[in-house]
Amino acid sequence: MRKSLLITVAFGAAVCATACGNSETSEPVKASASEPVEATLVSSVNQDSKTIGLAFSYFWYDNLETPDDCPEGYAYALRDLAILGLPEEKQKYLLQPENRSTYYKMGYALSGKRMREHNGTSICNIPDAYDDPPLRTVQSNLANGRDLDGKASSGDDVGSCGAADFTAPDGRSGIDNQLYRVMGCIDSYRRDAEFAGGAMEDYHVGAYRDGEITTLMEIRDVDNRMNDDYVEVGVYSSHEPTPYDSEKKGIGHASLTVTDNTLWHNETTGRIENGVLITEPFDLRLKFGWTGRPAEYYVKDTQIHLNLAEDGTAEGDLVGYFDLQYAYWHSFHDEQGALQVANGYTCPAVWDALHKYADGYPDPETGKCTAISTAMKLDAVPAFVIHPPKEELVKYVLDTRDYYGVELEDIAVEGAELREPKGAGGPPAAAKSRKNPETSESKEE
Amino acid sequence: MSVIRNSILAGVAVAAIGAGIYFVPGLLNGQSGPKVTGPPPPPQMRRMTESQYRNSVADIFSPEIKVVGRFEPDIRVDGLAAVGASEASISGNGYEQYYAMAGRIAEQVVSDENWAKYMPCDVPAPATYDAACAEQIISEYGEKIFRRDMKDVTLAEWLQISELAMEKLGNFHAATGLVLEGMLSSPEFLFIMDTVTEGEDGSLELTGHAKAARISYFLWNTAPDEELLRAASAGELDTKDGLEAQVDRMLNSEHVRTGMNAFFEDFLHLDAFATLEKDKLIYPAFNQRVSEDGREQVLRFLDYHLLDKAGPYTDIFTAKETFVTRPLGMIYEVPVRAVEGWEKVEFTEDDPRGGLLSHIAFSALHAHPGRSSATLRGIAVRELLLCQSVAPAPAAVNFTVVQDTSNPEFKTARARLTQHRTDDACASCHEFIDPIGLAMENFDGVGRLRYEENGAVIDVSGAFDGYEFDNVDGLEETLADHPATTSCLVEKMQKYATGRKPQASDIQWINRLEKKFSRSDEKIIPLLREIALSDEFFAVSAPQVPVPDVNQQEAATQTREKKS
Repeated sequence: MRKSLLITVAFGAAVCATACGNSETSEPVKASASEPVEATLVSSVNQDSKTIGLAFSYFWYDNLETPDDCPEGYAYALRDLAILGLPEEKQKYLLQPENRSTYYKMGYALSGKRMREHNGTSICNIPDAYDDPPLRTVQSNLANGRDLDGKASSGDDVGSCGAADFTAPDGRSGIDNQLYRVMGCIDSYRRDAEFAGGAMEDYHVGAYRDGEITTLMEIRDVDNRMNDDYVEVGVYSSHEPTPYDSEKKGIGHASLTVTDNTLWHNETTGRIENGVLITEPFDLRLKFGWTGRPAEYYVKDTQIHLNLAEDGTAEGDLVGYFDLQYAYWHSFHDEQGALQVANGYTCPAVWDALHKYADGYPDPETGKCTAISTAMKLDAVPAFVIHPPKEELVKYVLDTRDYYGVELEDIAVEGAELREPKGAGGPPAAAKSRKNPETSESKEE
Repeated sequence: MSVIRNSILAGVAVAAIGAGIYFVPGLLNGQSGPKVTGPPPPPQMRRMTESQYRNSVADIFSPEIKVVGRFEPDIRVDGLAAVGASEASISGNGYEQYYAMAGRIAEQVVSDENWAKYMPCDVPAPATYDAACAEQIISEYGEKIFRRDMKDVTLAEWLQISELAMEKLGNFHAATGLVLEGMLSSPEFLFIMDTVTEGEDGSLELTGHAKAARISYFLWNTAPDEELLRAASAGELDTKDGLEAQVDRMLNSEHVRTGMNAFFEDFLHLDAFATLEKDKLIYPAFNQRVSEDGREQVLRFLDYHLLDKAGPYTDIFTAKETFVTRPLGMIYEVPVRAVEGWEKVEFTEDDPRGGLLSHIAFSALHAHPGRSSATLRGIAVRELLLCQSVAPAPAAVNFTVVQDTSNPEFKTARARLTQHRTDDACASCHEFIDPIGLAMENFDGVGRLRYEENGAVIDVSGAFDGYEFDNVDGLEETLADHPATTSCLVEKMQKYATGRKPQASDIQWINRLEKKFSRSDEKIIPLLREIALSDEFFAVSAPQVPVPDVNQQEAATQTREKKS
C-alpha cells in the first residue's frame, strides 16, 4: 500500500498532507534494517491540505518578574524556618556566604526531623501536619496570561473564590494567573533570586532537553496557514526525545512517535487568525516528569495561542486552570525534602496558598475552587508527529497512590488501568522504601 | 526542465581548451587513435583492504570473531583504493598491528569455548600432539587463508611449525593458535598474491586458486568460499563451463551485494565519511549517526536500483526512491515512522531529490564543514562520475569572496563564484567545474533542500559539455545521457577488478566491455559477469623488466658489509 504523504519544505515546516502515520488511517510500521517499509511518497511542493507537526522545545510558566512583586521578601524555605528562632545576629551570621553551608545543613536537619516525626513519610504527602508561616505571594497586580473567565475579578465574586485578577503589562485586565501569585515569590521560580534563581525553570526545561519529557502538537486540516476558520489540533506526550543543539535550541524535523497511552492524547479544534493558532478550550493531560517524578500536567479549559512562523517554528502561550492537586504534585511535591530546603518553599505553606488562591472550578457542594489559573509560555520546532498503530493504543494512569499518599479515587480515571510508574516518569527509589515505614525507621536508627 | 543536447565532444573540447585540464574520456574506449596492444600485465600482489580483511576473517572463521585493530590507510591511485592496493606496502608499525590482530583472532578461534565450533578434530588431552589432526587443520584453514593449494611443500612447512610450537608450548590448542597466528600474519594472507604456472613456451597462467581469489575479491570482496576452492582444485576454473558455473553461482548469491558495496565505496570515495565533519552550530541536525547512515543510505540506494530492480546504471541519476532513517529524516525533512531501521521514501517527480547527487553521500561529502561548495561538487562529478581530471587550484588564490557567505553583495554561491572568476587565474577551471556544482546549490552543506540563500532565490540552471539544464534534475538527466558516464563506470570497474591502471593491452578489452555494457542496457550484473569471464581478467605475463634472482640473506650480508 502506498501512502500519500506530502511535505512542505518551502516554509521549512514539518507538514504532512495526511497525518504522518495516523493510527486511524495508516498501516502499522514494521521496519527493520534489512527490510525497509514500503515507500512513502514525499514532495517539496505546497499542497492544499496539510498537517503541521510541532515538538515543544520550551515550556515553562510565563512568569513576569518585577521589583514590586514581593515587598516582604521571598518565601520561606525549610532552611529559613530552621533559623527563624535564632537571634537576629545569629541569623545574619548564617546568611553570610561563607556560612551558608551551615544554614543549608540546618534546613536539611529540619527536613529529616519532620520526616522522622512521621515515620519517614514525605511531609508533602501530609501538608496539614505543620502550621508553617504563610507563603509569601506576589503582591503586585501585573502578570502575564489571559482572561480565562471573561471577568475582571476583584476577588469578591463567587466564581473566583476570592482571588483578584491581574492586569497584563499591555493593559489587558482580568488576567487569570493565580498560580503565578503563588509561585512568584519562591526564589527558585524566579530568575532574579539570589539563592536558587532559575532552578525550577532549569529543572523543567532541562527535562525536555534531557529527553525525559517530550510534547508534540499536530494541527490538521490546515487549508491556509495564515487564516483558517477551522483546524483540528492534537497535543500529545511522547517517550522519544526532542533533539536539541549545543546551544539548547530545539532541532527541527525530527520524527517523533506519540505515546501509546491515550490518557496523554488531547484533541481539540481551533482556528488560525493572521498566522496565530487559537484553540477552543479543552482539558489537557500530559505526562511530565523531571528527575524521575511521575508528574502530569492536568490543565482544564486549556487554550493555546501559537504564532506559526514561516520557518516552521512556533511560539505562544498555553493558559487554563491547573487542577489543584496536580498543580501541587507537578510543581511542588518533594518526596525527600531536599527541594523544600534549597528551593524556597515548604509544602505546608504552598498547599495552603494554592487553596487560598485557587480561582476555578468551584466544588458544587463546598463552593471551594478546585483549580488554579495559570499561564505558560511555549516554543516549538517543526516535527513529524508519528502515530502508533491503533491496536497498540492503551489507556492507563500511573499508580501514584503511595508516592503522593493519596487514595485511588484521587487519581483514578474512567476506563484507564493502573500502572506502576517505572523508567522515565517513575518515582525515585526512595518511594519504594517509604512504603514500609518499619524499613525507614530501622534506617534512621 | 529542458535538456538540450549539442555536440558533446565539441563541448568537451571547448571546455578543455585553455583550461589547463587533463581530460581523457575516449582515450581508452577506442574512439580515436590506432588500436594499441601489448603484453598482459605481470602477476600482482595487492594488499588486502580493511573490508577485505574483515570479510575474509568472518568468512574463514565466523562473523562472531572480533577483529580489533588499526589498519594501514588505503592509498588511492588513479581514483581507486583498489588500484592503490597494488602499490601499497605494509609499514613496520602497520605490521605490528596486523600481527597483534592475527594473535587476537587466533586466540579466539582456539579458545576452549570455540575449539569444537571451528576445528574439525581435537586431541584427547591438551598435552597430546596429533599430527593427523594438525594436518587436517592446517590443510583446511591454510587453503582458505592463503588462497592456495596446501599440498606439497607449504603443508609440510606449516606442519613443521606446528610441531615446533607444540614442543615449546606443550599444548595442542596453543600450538594450533600459534600456527593460525603465523598464517594470519603471513604476507601470503595480507597480500592477495598471484600464483602462476609456467607453460612450456614460457607463458604464465594464473593457478586455479589465484583465479578463485581474483573472482572472489572482485565479486564478493572476500576470500574464496569452499565451493570456489573446490572448483579451483578440480581445475574447473580453467574451463569455460566451469568458470561460468562459478561466476553465475556467485552473481546469484546475496554476497554479490557485499562486492558491489565495496566497489561503490571505492568508486564514490565513501571512505571520506570517516573524517566528515560539519559545523554543529550551522548544521545541528548533522551528527555521527547521520554520517554513518548517509554512507549506508547510498549503498542501499545503489543496491536497490542496480541489483534489486536490476535497472540501468544511469537510473541512479534519475531515481526518485531512496532510503532513510530517523536521523537522515531530519536532514531530508521527511517523516520516518520506524524508530529504528530504514524506510523507503519516494520523492515526487517535481522534487529535486531522489537521484545520486541529492544524497548526502554526494552533497554533504563534497561540501565544506560550514557551507556548500559548487566547486567541490563540480570536481566530484567530473572526476568521480565522468573520469575526467581537474587541475589543482593554483597557489596564492584569494578565496575571500567565496568563503564569505554573509556578504550582502554576493548572497548566493553563484554570485560569489562569479565574482571569484573575475580573477583570470581562477576563471578557466571554474568555468569547467562550477556550472555542474551550481546546479546542486539547492542542497546546503549537509544536503538539506533549500530554494534560497540569504534571502535570494538560488539559480540552479546551467550548461556543461554542450548540455543545458534548468536544475539538478536536468543535470542528472544530462549525466544519464552523457557517454562519459557509462564509459567511466566501465573503466573504473575494470580497474577495480584488476587492481591496476589500464594498460595498452586493456584498451580493446575495455572497448568490448563498454559495448557489451551498452548492449545489456547498462545493467551492472552483466558487466560484472563479462569482466569475471574475460580472458583478460586472468591474463598475466612475465615482467618486461627482468627481476634478478636475489638471495635475500646474501644481499643482507652484503649490505651490512658495505655499511661497515
